[in-house]
Amino acid sequence: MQIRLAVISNAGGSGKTTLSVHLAYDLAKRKYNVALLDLDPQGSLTLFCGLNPPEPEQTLAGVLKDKFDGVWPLTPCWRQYTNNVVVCQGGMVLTQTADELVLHKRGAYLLADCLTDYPLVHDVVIFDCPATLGPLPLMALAACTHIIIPVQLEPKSIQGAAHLLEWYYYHCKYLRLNPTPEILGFVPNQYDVRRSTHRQMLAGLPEQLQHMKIRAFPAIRDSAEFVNASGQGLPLHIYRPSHPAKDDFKETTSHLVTLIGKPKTTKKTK
Amino acid sequence: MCARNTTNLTNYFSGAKQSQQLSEAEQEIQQLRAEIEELRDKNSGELERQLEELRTQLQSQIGILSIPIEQIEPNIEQPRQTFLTESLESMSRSLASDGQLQPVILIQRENHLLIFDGERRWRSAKALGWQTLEAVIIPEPTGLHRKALLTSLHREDLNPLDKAEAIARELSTIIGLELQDIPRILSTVIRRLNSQKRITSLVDLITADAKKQEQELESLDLSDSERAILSLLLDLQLNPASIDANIFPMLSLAEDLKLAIRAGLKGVHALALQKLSAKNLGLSEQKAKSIREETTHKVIVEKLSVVATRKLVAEVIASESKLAVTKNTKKKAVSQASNRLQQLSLELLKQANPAELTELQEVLRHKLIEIEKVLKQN
Repeated sequence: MQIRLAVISNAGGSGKTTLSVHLAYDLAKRKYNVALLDLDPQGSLTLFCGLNPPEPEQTLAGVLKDKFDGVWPLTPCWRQYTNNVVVCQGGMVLTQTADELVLHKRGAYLLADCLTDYPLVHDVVIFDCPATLGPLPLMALAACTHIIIPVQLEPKSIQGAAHLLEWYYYHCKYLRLNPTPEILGFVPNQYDVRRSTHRQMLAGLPEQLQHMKIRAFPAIRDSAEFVNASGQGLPLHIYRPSHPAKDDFKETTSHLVTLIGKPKTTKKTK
Repeated sequence: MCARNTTNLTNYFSGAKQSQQLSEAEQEIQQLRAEIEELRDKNSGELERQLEELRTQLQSQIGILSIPIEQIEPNIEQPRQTFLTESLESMSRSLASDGQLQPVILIQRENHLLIFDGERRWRSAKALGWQTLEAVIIPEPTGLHRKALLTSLHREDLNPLDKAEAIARELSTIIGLELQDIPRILSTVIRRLNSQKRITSLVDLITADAKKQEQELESLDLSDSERAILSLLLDLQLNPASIDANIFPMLSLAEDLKLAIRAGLKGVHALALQKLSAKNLGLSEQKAKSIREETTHKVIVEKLSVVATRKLVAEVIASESKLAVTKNTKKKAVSQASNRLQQLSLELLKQANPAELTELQEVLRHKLIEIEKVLKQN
């Protein structure tokens, strides 16, 4: 089963791109084909994957055009290390796409339509969403099978994530998503064990999520090396292979692998 | 600190939790709706089966069915709960001799066939050891008890006049007696048996079998026509005494009362009104008739009871006889005058003076003219 994972948060700097990139690399190391789709006008994936800025037509904005010919602009990344990750880049042109979406008859369903009409063959498709809850993340919600919510252990980020849940429940119903995308879980990010508020938040979060039957994945530790790695356009695994923080994604990746390997619904066609 | 942070987190998530609960509730509703739809789909088969059954039932209603007696159940809601042994025995006799003349009416209630009409036939047939009864099955009427009650109360029996005529006709046809002789012959024999105090043994014969009836009638010392009439009445399960007392008197009712009966007047009322005869009223047949019709109309319009009718009849007779008395008084004045005139002998006239005689002559001449006038008018 193809997992289409929307990485969504309602606050900037919560680690969406970091999570997307590292999950992609982890999965690639486990022989899964991954497509990273950048829905963010900031185009952070271009930076994190060490790619050149794309022509506007070579971004996801080109895919979302009505005249899209079905040839996805997918750029391989970390080619020296893996053949399993491709990126559909984002960029400023997506702000224009977002504006056009509002008037488009199938606005929220445009990405889902593209994936239906011109399916990607990858095991996992990751949508790296922008920080606001605008039309682009809404499109991701309508197109994904799962969402994952990275969150900083800080009030602003957690409050944003809580609002994100409200947004999620409202729009699943409003868009009549069937089946509704599943919430894979929260991923606490930039956890600094030395900071008592981080510790307290990390301790309190699982209980809150448990009430809602939402999984809390292990925290990703705070490290300056993430920033350094992204500057080089590499995941931490490649940038500092011995760095223990790279293992912080393991459990989340494993969970994804389980989902891919053991599809919930077995549809056999005659 | 920790507690406060936890509280903060709770606050952050309260809205999300509400949203989730709402969403779950809506999902549950959707699921239930889907289940209802599914159940509807499943039940449509069951519904189809029930409809088919109904259709079969409807088809069977067109005709008379032969239903095993064991499958038939009495309806405990029916008003009539008393079934006298004699009544059942006479029905049994009728069934045994003539078979079932009318199908019983059954209603289908779930798996039960309940008697809507015909419990006496069912009981009697059962007593006879019959296996089946002819029946029609109708759908259960709404308000069954009320309907059954109405059926009992408003069942349109033959009115007593029709009954009397039908019985007399039957007796006349079978026995060969003159129609008008039959009530008289019956009346005679009933009166005689009454005075002989043997009427009870006759009435007991209604439920007896034909052989016993024959033997008993033999012992009653009857004329041929009397015996033939009694035998036939018993065979029809009719009480000869009751026919004589209640039914045959209808035959001698005045024509206007017969018409009134056919229009709905009750037999007992007619018998009471019959007292308004020419003889009782001291009037001509024509005048008596018009008074009777007037009174009958009043009885019908005012829906008078039998007692009230009898009272009214008595009042009418009383007032008519008063009028007759007055008339008689007037009648007397004329005859008295006539008598007095007869008493005026020739001797008396000779003794009178001429002026007196002239006056009498004038009075008589005048009266004579009036008498002639009156006589001419009549």
